[in-house]
Amino acid sequence: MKPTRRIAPLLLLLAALLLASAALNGCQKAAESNEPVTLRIGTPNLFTFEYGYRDYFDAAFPGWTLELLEYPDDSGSYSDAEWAQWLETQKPDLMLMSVFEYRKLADAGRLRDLETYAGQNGMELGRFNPAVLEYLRGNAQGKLFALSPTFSTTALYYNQDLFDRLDIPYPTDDMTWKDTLELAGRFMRDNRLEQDEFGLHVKWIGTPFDLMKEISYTEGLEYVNSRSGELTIDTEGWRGVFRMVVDAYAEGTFRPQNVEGETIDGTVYYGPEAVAQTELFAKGMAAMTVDGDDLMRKLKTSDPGFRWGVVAGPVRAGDATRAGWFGTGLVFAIPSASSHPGEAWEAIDYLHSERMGKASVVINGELLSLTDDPVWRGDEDYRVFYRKLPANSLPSEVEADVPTSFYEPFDELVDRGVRKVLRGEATVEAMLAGLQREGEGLMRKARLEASDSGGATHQGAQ
Amino acid sequence: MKRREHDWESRLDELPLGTGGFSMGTIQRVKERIAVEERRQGKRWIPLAAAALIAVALATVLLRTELGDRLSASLRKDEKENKPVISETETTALRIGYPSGGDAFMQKYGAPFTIRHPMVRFQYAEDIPQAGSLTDYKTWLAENNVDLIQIPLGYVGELASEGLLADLDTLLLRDGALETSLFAPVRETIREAGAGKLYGLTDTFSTYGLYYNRELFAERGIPVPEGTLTWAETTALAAKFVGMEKNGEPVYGLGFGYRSGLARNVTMVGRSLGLGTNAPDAPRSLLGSEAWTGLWTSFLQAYRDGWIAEGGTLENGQSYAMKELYKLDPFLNGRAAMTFQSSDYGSSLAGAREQLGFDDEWGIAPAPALDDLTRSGGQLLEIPYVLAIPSRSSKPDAAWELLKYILSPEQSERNARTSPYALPTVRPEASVLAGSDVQTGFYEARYDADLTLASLERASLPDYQALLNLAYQDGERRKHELLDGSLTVERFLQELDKQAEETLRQLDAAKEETSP
Repeated sequence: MKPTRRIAPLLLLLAALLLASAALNGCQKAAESNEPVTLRIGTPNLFTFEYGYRDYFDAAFPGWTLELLEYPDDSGSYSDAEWAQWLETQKPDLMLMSVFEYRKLADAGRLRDLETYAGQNGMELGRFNPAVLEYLRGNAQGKLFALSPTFSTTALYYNQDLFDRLDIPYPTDDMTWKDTLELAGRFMRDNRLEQDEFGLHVKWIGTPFDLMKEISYTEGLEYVNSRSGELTIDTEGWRGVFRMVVDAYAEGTFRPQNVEGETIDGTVYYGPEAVAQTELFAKGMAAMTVDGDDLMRKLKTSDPGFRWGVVAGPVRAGDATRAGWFGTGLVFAIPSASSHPGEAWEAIDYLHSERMGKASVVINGELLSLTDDPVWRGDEDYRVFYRKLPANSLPSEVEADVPTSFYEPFDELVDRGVRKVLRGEATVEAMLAGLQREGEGLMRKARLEASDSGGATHQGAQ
Repeated sequence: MKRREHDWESRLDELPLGTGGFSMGTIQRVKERIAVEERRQGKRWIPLAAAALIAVALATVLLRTELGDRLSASLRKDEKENKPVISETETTALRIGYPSGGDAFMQKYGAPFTIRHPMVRFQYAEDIPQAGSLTDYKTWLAENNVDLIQIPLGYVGELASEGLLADLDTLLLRDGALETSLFAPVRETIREAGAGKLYGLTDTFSTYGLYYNRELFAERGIPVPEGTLTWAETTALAAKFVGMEKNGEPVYGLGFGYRSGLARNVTMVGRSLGLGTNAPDAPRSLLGSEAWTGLWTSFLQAYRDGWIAEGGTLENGQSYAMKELYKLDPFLNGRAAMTFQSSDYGSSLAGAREQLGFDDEWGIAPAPALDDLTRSGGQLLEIPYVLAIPSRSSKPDAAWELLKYILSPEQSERNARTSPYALPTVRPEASVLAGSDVQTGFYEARYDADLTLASLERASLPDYQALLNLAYQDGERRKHELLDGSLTVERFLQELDKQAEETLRQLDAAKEETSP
């Protein structure tokens, strides 16, 4: 046989192998997708998953078998070792959880870095609201260990009719709390404003200290360190907040609204009537309010009977990129213990996709983490919620060292102090020094009582 | 038929992925040609083999490049020609008439459908008749434009005969698979309502059943009920439990739930059997008919003999926790061998298991028949409403897609999870249904479409409801006289007939006053 005759069959064999290889390559993915998939999903409770996400999974992954694993009732106070044991025995592939559990598991290094998966699989993180990414990266390692399809935040709403009636210019983006209170003051000083109308009304603000706490979220201030229990109210930051609010009260800028609840067995309950009393803005009785994105949905679905607008803010004094209260919905994460990280990522990818987003905006209306939300919703008014970074950070679920019995007497102490200042019996500086001193005494007392009774501490304080 | 030159889709149908863009037929022909050439000109096969290798290699590359692009373009063109009914890129707005409102529709059907078709949007007709008359529906449908509407099954025939509803049979024929998946008695009942044509569909139905406690039957050494019993057989079976006790408390043969009583039981059973209360063509009461007399007589005897369980006494206007209601139901406490209940009684059984620890084994037999004559005819189906596509719909194809989804196996499984004790028209896999083993009985029972429709038609008439209420109220008022024998059933029913006819005359007079 000539050498060429020997080569020829080899060439044909090579061609056949190439064909087979090409065929195999193409079929591989299909074969993989036809394999039965069983995904074990951790969830706070069955209802949360069934009501919120089951439909999406059924539509996108009809062949998958989902095994739902409920977290134990006492998992809220689980130590890292207890979580490690639960993860080891239950082996969830995907976890749906609150930001408290997320922070704890992320800090303990028990979750996979999703940024790696996003990079490998072509997910564009640039389509996400930067606020969501920053918030979820707010863990010890600063990595993205989870994603949430939705978030919520606040903005400054205003009643255009009331502003026009009194010929006061509308609020603008990037107003601080100081600017906002000053604008509200123009209404309260105007005698054309009706007795039952407000310049600024914020739901559930019943005392000056309630308003101070609202402002402190934006300013990133804490009056007590939840980890150490150290009291930090006599600081320059708090002095500024107290001066601002005391001045607003003294000038009649801010009027508190006390809504009576029903006390049953020591717990105060607020029924629908009480809640309705707090909604003065929606009733057209307040020129401005600071409220969540759900107010926009409410104003758009039921005509309030007045023209209204919304701007981003109030922003942090000195850092106009940050505003409001911010929070994500439940987050999805892939634990290190996952046996099916590829499928778990596929699910996360779908839950943050255009296809899911377009359906989600009409199904539950919550703000999507993807910035295309207003486009898919067909309503650019919602863009206002995508303009700012969070003022608050991911909550830490650390071993809190603040007994719950501390808070109520301390609130009363502050209220007494503010009344003294309003009556001219003390300065803000003297009051804060007194609050620091007496507050530390209250803290010692509360700790002593808690250690005597093995009592509860306040979890998850920010 | 000659294949079109650019019929890429049908060529691709026979094309496994990764064959370099050549169909298996083409590859086969290339191989054949190579083989022929080899036989013909042995010395030329080397260049041919090399050419084949190059061709395959080129094809492998091209599939992902130029040829791939051309294929994609052709496919896109083809997709354009076969535009889906509900677009993936443009909004499809469907207008819905659903009396329970948009939120209820969205939760039940809209959300899962939107997830599958993200560009669909629903709008809701707000002024749709709520439990309106046939005339209300006729007027509304003639004047309004919706794509899908929920209407009473009892009105389907009339509305269809006036041309107000789309014929779904045409669409079913086109998409044949759906027809066979529908529970035949439901499909046939709705078809009969439309004089042989299908003008609506329902995703769930309900009916009645005779639930029995296997453990009590076993303890008494009595075989459990098999097949359809008559009411006479049921009461005779129940009588066998007279004198039985469990934990020092009496066990009864038959119960009717937490809220029972002689008159309530008789009227409920009469209604489930489709017994009329009045003649359709004259103001004449039928409450004293032989069938009603038989029911009152056998139930009265049951109370006297003590084998029928009484429920509890409930205060009107008072609210009760479900656990308290379960405690009042003898069957849920293992103190009744049988109970006659709706098909959704499974929810009470599950509740009692969870809250009272009731864990007796139980089963379901078909609803008892009135007598031997009706035994083979089948029982009554409860289909109060159906979903229909009005003739005036501007998007009948999209509405049909929605209706097909509502009747799809996946939505049926969803129903089984979210409303586990409703009976889906498309029966899901047994593993999905809660208590599927016992619910099987409802799918195996015989149903009577005529009886169902006649009963529905009657139920929509104010005369029927008024007389049924009268029988219940008067029966409750005179219960003690009946029980102590001072009033016979015959006398009671004679007097009831007189009252009923007076009521009918008053209703007629009221109708005449209000008619234009």
